[in-house]
Amino acid sequence: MTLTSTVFLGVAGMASLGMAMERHHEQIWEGTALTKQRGWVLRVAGWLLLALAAVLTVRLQGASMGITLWVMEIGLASACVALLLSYAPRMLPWLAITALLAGWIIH
Amino acid sequence: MLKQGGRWLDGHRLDIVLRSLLGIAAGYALSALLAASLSLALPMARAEAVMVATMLAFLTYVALIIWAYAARNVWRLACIWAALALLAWSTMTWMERT
Amino acid sequence: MKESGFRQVNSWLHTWSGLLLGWLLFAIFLTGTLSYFRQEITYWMQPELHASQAREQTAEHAVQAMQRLAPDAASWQITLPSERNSTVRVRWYDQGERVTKGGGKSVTLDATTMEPLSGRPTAGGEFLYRFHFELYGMDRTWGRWIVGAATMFMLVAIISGVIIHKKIFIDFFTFRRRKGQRSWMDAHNALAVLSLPFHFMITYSGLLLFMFLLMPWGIDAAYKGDMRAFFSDRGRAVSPAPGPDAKNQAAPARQAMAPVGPMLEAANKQWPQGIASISVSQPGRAGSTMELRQKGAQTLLNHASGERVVFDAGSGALKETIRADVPGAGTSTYNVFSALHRLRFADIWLRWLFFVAGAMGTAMVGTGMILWVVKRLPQKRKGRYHAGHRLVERTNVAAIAGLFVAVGTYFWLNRLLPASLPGRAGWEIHGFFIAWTSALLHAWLREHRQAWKEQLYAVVLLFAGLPIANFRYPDSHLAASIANGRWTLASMDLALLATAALAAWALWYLHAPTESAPAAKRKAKAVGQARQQTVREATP
Repeated sequence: MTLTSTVFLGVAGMASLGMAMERHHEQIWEGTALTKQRGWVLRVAGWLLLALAAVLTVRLQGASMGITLWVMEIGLASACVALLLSYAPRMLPWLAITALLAGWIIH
Repeated sequence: MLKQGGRWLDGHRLDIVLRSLLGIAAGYALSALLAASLSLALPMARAEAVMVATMLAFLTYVALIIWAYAARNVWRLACIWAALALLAWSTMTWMERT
Repeated sequence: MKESGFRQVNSWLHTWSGLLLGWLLFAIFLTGTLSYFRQEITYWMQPELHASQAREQTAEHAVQAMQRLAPDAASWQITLPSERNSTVRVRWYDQGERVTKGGGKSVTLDATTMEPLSGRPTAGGEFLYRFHFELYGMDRTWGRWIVGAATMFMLVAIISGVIIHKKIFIDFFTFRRRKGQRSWMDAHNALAVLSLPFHFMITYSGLLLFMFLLMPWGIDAAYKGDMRAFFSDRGRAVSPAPGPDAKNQAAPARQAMAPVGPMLEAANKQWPQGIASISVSQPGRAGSTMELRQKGAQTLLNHASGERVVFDAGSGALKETIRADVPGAGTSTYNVFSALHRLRFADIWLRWLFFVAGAMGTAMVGTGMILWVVKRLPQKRKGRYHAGHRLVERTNVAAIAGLFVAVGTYFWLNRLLPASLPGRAGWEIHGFFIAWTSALLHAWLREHRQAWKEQLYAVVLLFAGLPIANFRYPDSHLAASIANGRWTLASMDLALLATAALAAWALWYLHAPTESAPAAKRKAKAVGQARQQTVREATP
């Protein structure tokens, strides 16, 4: 079951990185501008979550299998984030929070 | 060699054909020479050298194809490639002798 | 290429390397993606086997069944049921018979009753798999060379594509809908970039899998062409050169086999995914050994070959545990690439991840071909549309929608053709190609948009119809497979429905007219003028 948590962490991480981009931040929060601080926080959080997912997958599956699984998982996560940003951008923060909670709880 | 308003200038056509021949055919030959020479020259176990050399040869082939189309002067390119081929071939013969 | 910058050259190269073999690459990508589930597809195509269900004692019962079926055999091979195939597949070789791949006698057994089952003769998923790298109906080496060349074109397209993508990071998550050409471009880019590691890996590894055919010059130079010496140096098992005639050697004396239960349990405890297969040499005789192979693998470096344990079959004692060595750097790298490409080791979750990535790659090639046509629509409107454009426009329909029609026909023929028809497997394949050729003719004869709509209709009917047709088989249909937890069969039916849904969505998209840029401009101008008119009339 802990492999599933890595997927959720990957989704949360990619979502965070997406929100840290000006173009997408505008899509979600039309009024608020993306301040440098906010962008930095979101980006660091995103990368940390991705790194955490990588570490966990490698611990569960070994080096070569783990990295393979991680690369594929974040590819899928990116696709989900891209689709959400296209069809329902305002849902992205909710997806990020849900994924983060799910990943933490399942783990 | 990009189409200028739909007209194909003959000079350009020759250019494309030349670069295609060079990139695809000569590029393959050069990559093959690289595979052969590196297989002999790399300082590792023979089977390992063959693997590494062959894997590199494919990547080199892609690079050579792009180079063939991107180079400003086709003739200069051909000369450089001939020199590289000579280098690879001489490495091969020298390694085979030792 | 005097004034052309590096980017423009690569743009030209990307377009041409993609366009020239795009139709073939689409077919290679699609059949490759489907091949990840070739075992499941073959299983689905043999409904006679679906009643079989694995039980806890299946392994033990299988060994007992072999003692009834082939008591005098020189060796047994038993492949246990898995989530991919619920039957037991056994193979045995007689005394003195040479062990060759596909040789000996093989039977499929029901996993509970151990009765032999005979599925209808079909090529199944294997046809799609072979087509993927050898094509069909031609000399195998020729087929591989063509696919190899196409793979080179693909690799050039990928590298040049990355070079010309100006905003690869900024546009990473971008997909703007309902914007005509812009949307097609966004789709093509997103499909390419989001799975870029996969696309590069699959293409490069595809070349590597053919390296001894396409680039044998290293072996030539270093081993003077002695392939046997090269392979044994690499540590790959070489099939033993034919020795003295083994037929005349007497079989060893009989000796009872120890109970297999404890041996199987010991292995199952160690391996998270369980046992994949059982091989017994000289069963029921002195010196007999039982080798169990692990399902899945621990590392890709040794070609993802799982662990093996060997027991003395007479006493039940563990003799040795074999773990494939991690070879040198070059071979390890090759092993990783080839294991990832073929994915023989993967569990169901990883398999689905690769399937999705493969589907994205297929769509990447398809959207590329369509984008080329869409980009030239303004030219078409101005009447400057020449034969090459028309060729691509028409053939796209057959290459993309038509291929799905062919696959659907293949599956339908599997359901319709009687099991006793001679050459049945061949006829399924012929049907595939007849459908594909018909799609090509249809695409060239019909008007462009009509052709797309009609072929997509066909895809919807074919793919949605299959799960419905399955209700003819009480063990195979969707309701039964979900109720019994037979997820292999259920996911096949669900995937068919999903494909039908995708085609239906494409049809919906085609029916809703997207406003072209000039039409939208004219409309906006008219609205603006009308507004001005009302304002003028309103002001005194």
